[in-house]
Amino acid sequence: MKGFFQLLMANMKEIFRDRMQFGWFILFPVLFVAGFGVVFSSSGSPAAGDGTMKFPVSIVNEGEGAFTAAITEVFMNVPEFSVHMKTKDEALHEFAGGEAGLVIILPAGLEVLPVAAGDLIKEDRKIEIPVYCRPDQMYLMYGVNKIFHEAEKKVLGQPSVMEIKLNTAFPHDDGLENNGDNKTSNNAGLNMIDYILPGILAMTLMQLGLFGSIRVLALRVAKILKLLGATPLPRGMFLACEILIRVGMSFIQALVVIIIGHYAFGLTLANNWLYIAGWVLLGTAAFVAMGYMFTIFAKTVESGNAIMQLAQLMMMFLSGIFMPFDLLPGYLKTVMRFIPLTYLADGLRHAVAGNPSLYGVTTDLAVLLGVTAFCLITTVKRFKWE
Amino acid sequence: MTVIEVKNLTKKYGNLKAVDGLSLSVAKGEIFGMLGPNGAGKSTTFEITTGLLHRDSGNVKVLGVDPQKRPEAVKARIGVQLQAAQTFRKLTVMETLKLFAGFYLNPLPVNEIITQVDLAEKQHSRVETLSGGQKQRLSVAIAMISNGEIIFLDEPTTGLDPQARRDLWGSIIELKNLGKTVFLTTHFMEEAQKLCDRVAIIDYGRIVALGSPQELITAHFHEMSLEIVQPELRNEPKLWELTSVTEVIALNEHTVLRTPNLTATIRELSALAKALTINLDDFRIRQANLEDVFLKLTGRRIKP
Repeated sequence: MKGFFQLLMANMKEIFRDRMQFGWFILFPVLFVAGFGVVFSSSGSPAAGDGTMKFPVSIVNEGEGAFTAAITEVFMNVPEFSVHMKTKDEALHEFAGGEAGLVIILPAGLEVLPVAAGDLIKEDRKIEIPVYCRPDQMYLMYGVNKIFHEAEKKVLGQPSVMEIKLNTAFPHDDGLENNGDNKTSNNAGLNMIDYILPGILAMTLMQLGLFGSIRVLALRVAKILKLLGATPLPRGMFLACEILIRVGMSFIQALVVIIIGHYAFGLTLANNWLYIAGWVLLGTAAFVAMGYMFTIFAKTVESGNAIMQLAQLMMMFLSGIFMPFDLLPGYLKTVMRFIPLTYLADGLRHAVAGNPSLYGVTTDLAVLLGVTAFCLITTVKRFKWE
Repeated sequence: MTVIEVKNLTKKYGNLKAVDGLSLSVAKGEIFGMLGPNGAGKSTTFEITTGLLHRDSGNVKVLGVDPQKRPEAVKARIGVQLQAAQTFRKLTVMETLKLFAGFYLNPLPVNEIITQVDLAEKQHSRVETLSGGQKQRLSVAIAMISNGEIIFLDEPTTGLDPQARRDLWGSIIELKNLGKTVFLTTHFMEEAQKLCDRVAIIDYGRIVALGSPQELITAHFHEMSLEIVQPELRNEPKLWELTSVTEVIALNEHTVLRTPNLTATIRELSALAKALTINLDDFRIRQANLEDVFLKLTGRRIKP
């Protein structure tokens, strides 16, 4: 035990005395949260926050029925929306003219969804919901998505048959300027921050896991692992120590992201800390294990760095952490499904901000546990100590 | 009492036999050296005995325990210095030794070891600021701190200047005085000759000679060596015709004449020089050393 404690201290000294590394460890999440916070939060904009700002939404209800009426009502209850019922022609004319920034069309047939859903699922068909949204107000789409998902979930138990078809037909320029200041305040259910920041958190956990394992690689290249292997220190103890440090660092970063996100940018905190910690732990486990697995393929620190960079960039941009699911083209949606970060971000959005999970909490959990198990087993089988 | 027993050890890397039927035994309290060129199988034997590497066949017992079956039992009772292994860069000398001391049940006092390897001035310096020689001494200190019954040193003085090398020899002899057994590898002849009680000369994974340095020399040489450095003389074909000389070995920088009768050889040599009108002014006489033994046994010179 004395050896374990000594090793823990030694490792911590190694990490914290490397000013460059430690600086990035703290600075990186702060920069990201601040950057994205300013971009996506309304609190940085002088026009927002007074609650009087109403955002015009046109709804075209082509399929009159209880279900579509219920959806319309949800939109009406959002305080930042002023909802107008329009005919399709009117609405699209206004959209083209720049008078309306967001048009939602509830197509004929939608009203019978609660009854027809079973058949649709069986035939693998989806109902398209055309939505017109101006590019400069794209952040609203997150809220729109959420409302549809929730409505569907309430009725069907799972979101699966409604597909939002986004149109961004560009209105003429002066329209853009006239309404350019319209923003949503951050106490509505449409807070883009709630989407983005848990994604940023997922990304920092991924980075910490992937790049943290470079350290083990460096120790291996310097033959320090071999030297430790020549002492009576059990290998398990070395690993436990390594993992403990990774988990500790993850918690610190998560705390930084969440606290800055909450106090500076109004990130919703919907769950207790223990629940959030559980998800952070799960994400750390998955990506630390993945990082260790990647070190198998690297002979030098440089090649290790290259592998991690590649993995990180791919996951960062293909996981939809920067953009809601429905804003992405179809083929990317398929790719996203294979990126583990997608599920950590989804899980964290649910755990931190209480957003409805896009893929289901069970799916997120299963994917993360599966990734952890697969990477761990591969690592244990193939890992080289020297 | 035997503390290391190796019998018919073999280890292959692919088709290459790194260790090929090697047997040796080391007695308690001796300094035992494995001498050989790079790739001779020294480090492989070293790593198998310290429990770092699995063998293909043969028997190994260290302190009565098979290091392959119970590596942790062996590791707890030995101290190991590894060739080219670094330590944590951001830790100080003191912290490093405390860290490694923490892995053993009865480590030696950190301060004592720091003094012994002459790192007292650097004890609060980070490892990354140490010179190559200082790092090397630190890695030997790590082996010593264990207070193990056997101290394993893999090329402990590689990279040291001659003075630092001699200082470290002092520390190693000190270990012997403490009753420790020292098992080391080296490719420095002088080191093996001055430091080791017994030496195993290893080539192509086998032991080609084993004994104390003096035993090896007297067993293989009754002659003296006479080294000729002068370029105009050392390539002279008539050197091969000198009657008192038993063997002529032409090396890069000098030619070695072996002779059981030194007086006769010098007389012949000066006559030859006179005939060639060369001043005989640059030659050395010495007793045979381990290097000669190595050369004789392997037909090669050892290259550091």
